[in-house]
Amino acid sequence: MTIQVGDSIPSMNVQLVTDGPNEVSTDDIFGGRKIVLFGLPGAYTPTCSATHLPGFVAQHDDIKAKGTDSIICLSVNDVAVLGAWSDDLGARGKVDMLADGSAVLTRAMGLEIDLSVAGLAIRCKRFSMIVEDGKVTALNVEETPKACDISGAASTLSQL
Amino acid sequence: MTINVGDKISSATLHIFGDNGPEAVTTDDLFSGKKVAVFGLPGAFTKTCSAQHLPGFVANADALKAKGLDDILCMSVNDAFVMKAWGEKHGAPGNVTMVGDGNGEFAKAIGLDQDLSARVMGVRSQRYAMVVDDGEVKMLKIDPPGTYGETSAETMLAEN
Repeated sequence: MTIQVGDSIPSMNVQLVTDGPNEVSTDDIFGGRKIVLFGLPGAYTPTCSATHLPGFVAQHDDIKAKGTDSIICLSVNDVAVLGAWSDDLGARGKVDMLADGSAVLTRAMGLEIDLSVAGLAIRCKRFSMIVEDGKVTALNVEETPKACDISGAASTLSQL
Repeated sequence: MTINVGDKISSATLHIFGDNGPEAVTTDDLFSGKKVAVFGLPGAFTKTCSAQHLPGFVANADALKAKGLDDILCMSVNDAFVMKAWGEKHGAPGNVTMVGDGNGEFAKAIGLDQDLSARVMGVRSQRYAMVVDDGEVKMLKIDPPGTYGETSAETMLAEN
């Protein structure tokens, strides 16, 4: 079942792209903090590279000025791919990358989408959410992977 | 079961990045009537794969083709977008064809898949190298996890 406003982020260990050890619990990431989390179908894919991530990179100052502790990008890719992509798009230090390589968190939130036809297997739908102290307070899930409207940086910023 | 020398390549559908994004290709398209070098690896942008395995085949592409190989295929359980981006960083275009086995269909069909969920990478390919002549495996090398050498371009060049 898809996660809803009012639900808690599932508790589990995940991987963030960092310079050091990168395993961290969702409790530590979200507990007592205000986080903007957005998810996308894949690093290096057109909409994600041209619009979704760059939008959050460009508006990270405005989003953080609204009391957001960090902005996190989730994708079903591994840390190697997400780290490279993040560097290519200048995201490091502005948007943190959460590598859900086995789609465990994505499935736990009910946000998975089967893109096997294009050779991408199980991925994450395009979405954004605001999470305060572990609870979802706003959620925007796009109808199709190609759409990037309600989950975009500008739209999410307007909800803060 | 793992494929052996003398076996026919199992059927699978993979994806290569074309003019309109990921384009489906079958093992028939890739192997029929051709002599092809194939190397498989655990992941684009990961350390050994980026520092040694792919660069070795790019550097030795001309020498391998001079030995009668029609094509050199790099196979990984990544999507075609990631394979394209990674290949371009390492000079693959014109030397090595980057083939996305994003669903892991080929790796599983030849029995050379491995579960890297503990590293949050899901199911991936083992590190291997093959020479395939008109769909029949003529040479097969596998590097055990964490090792690299038997599957290198240099080894293939020396033994063919």
